[in-house]
Amino acid sequence: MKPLNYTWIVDDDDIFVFTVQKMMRKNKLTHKLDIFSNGMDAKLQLDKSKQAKLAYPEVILLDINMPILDGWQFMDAFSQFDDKDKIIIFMVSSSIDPKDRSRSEFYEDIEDFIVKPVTIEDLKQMVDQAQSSMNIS
Amino acid sequence: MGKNLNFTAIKQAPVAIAYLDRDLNYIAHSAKWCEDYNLKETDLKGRNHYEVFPEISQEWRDKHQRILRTGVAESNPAQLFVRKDGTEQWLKWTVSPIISESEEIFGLIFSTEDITETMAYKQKMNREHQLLMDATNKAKIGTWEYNFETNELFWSSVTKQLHEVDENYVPDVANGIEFYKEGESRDTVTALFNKCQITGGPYEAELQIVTATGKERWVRSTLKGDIVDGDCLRQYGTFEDITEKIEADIAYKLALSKFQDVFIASGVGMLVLDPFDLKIKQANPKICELLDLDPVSVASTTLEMLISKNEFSGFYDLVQQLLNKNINRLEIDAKLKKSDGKFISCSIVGSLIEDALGNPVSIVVQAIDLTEIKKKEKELKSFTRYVEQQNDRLMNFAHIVSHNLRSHSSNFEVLLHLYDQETSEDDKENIIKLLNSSSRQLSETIGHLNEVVTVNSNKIELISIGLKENILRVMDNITSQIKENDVDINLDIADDFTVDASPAYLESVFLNLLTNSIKYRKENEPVIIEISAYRHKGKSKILFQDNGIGIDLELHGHKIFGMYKTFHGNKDAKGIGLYITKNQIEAMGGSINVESQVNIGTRFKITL
Repeated sequence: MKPLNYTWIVDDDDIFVFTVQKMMRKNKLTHKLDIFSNGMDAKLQLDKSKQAKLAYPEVILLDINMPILDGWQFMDAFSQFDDKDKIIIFMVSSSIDPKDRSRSEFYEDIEDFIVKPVTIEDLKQMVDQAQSSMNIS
Repeated sequence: MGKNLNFTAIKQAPVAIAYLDRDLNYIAHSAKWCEDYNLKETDLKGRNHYEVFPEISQEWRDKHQRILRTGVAESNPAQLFVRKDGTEQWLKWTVSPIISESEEIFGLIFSTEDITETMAYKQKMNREHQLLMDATNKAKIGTWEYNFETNELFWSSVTKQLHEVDENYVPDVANGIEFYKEGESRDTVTALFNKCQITGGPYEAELQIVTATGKERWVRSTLKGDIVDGDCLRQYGTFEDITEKIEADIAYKLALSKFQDVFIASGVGMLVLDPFDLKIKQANPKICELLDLDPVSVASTTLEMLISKNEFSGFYDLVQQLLNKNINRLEIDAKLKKSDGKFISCSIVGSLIEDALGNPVSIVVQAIDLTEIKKKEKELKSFTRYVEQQNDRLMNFAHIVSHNLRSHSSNFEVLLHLYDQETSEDDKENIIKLLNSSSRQLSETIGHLNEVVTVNSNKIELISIGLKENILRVMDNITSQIKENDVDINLDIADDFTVDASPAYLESVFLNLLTNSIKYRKENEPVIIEISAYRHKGKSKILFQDNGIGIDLELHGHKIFGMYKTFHGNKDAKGIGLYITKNQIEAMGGSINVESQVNIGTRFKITL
């Protein structure tokens, strides 16, 4: 499997971040990985990257419940972002509230909704899905 | 014979009369004779009858000869003659022989009377009679006539039909009266018949007959008598079937009496109104009780006095629609005025009562007191709202629980999986550390959930608490924090200001708010907190204001009181404090809301 070039994890749960990081590295799913502990930090970095013409991540794993700017609020900001088509977003949450899943379907910029725990198979499939989606566009 | 006749007397006789000899020559005649026959001559003496009236037919000539021969007079009470000039003349005539003392027939006496006018009148009468008969037949009104001279009773065919006898039936007075139902009807008609014989009437009565086939029928009978010189010559009258009307009347009276029973005994307030001026004709005991009205004096008022002014026009409109048959029933919720001037909410339903001809007679109005219903409805609504809120909270809580517990359990799962695959001892040790931390967080989460469940499930007792005292106790508990952080707390609360609350919850609320204000203080600035309280509409309002960093409510307003919502990225923010605060306040029957401006401060308003 061809690894992704650049992936972001936006989540305030240190343990979740640790596990995903570990699995992606071990299985060589991405060359580069960056971590943001809330939506605001991620949004600010996107704006900075645009200005400085830095590389965008190909994929963002986005949590819902986070301080300052939560996943939904990040998505509201992201939908206004000029280069949003270059980035694929997976919403990742431990929520099994059906309202959260149906809400994610309202956001056309969300590629898929993944329920925690996230296994290595989930991550591989996600990389697959992201790459075929990128090839189409 | 001449000497036997007084010619002068004959001439002046007021009738047309003529004396002729056996050859039909005139001996004498009255002046009226010439007049009646339009003759130019005034004296026909010696002239021949057939000369004067050449149109006289052979039939008449034979008749004259027959009378002269037999000596038997002939007459006709009314016969039509057509004169030379075509005019028609009705004559009553008599031709008698003149008989001498020696019984010799020596001439004829003609006596005629012009009855043309009478006949015309009679014909007109006949025509009118026929029209009347036709009309009464069509109207199903029968007629009868009794002739006292001939003892004959005549029934028109409608009268016969009403008695259910056939067309050939010949009635007489005795069985005519027997058709009337024995008892009141027969007695009445007999009495009227006898009375009418003396006075001539007219009389009228509604009576029952039993027809030939045994059916009972109601009839209206009229009687009139022709009295001449104190003698009743005939009685006559009409005879009309009114069974349907009477039965409808009886049914109506029965319904009315049933209505009266219901009206009096009803547990619903009822009024009977005049349909036009809405005067109260009757008020039942229930409505008098409801509105505290005097049952006697209420009858002199109108509904306008009982209904609230701004609702009367709506009611009046509906009455007009009811009268115009645009609606079958009047329905309106309105306030009715009690005698003490207070109003009560009523549901009013009205229907129109008509007589047999469809004329409006009255409007019956029912008024149902809605006070209790409205009160119950309000209670029910508030209870439903409470249950809905509780249900929302529980749903919300269930999702929070599942979310928070799941996030820990999924961390465990993945960490254990990684541990199995890990070969490096250092990394394994690291994973164990993470498992420990995860386990700690899980216990903490369970502790929080338990706290929330306790707030929501324990029934708490509200007691009157001195507010200032309660806050001072909280401040005592965090004295060191207050000192370390340079916090200035101003209490603008009267010493005797009390609130109905649970002391432990109230302390917890203020502990949370105070520590939040300290936690989210502006750097390098003393913390200033102001707490004030006042009463408004029977409730206690408590204002809690700080000068902290504030919160962007546009961004976070909808989730500020949510569980595990944090806003500042503060490491020790757990997102549980305000959630529990809100739950505790709601458990005490109160509410909390927030106003805030970033970098200016936050203000909480608590209502208890």
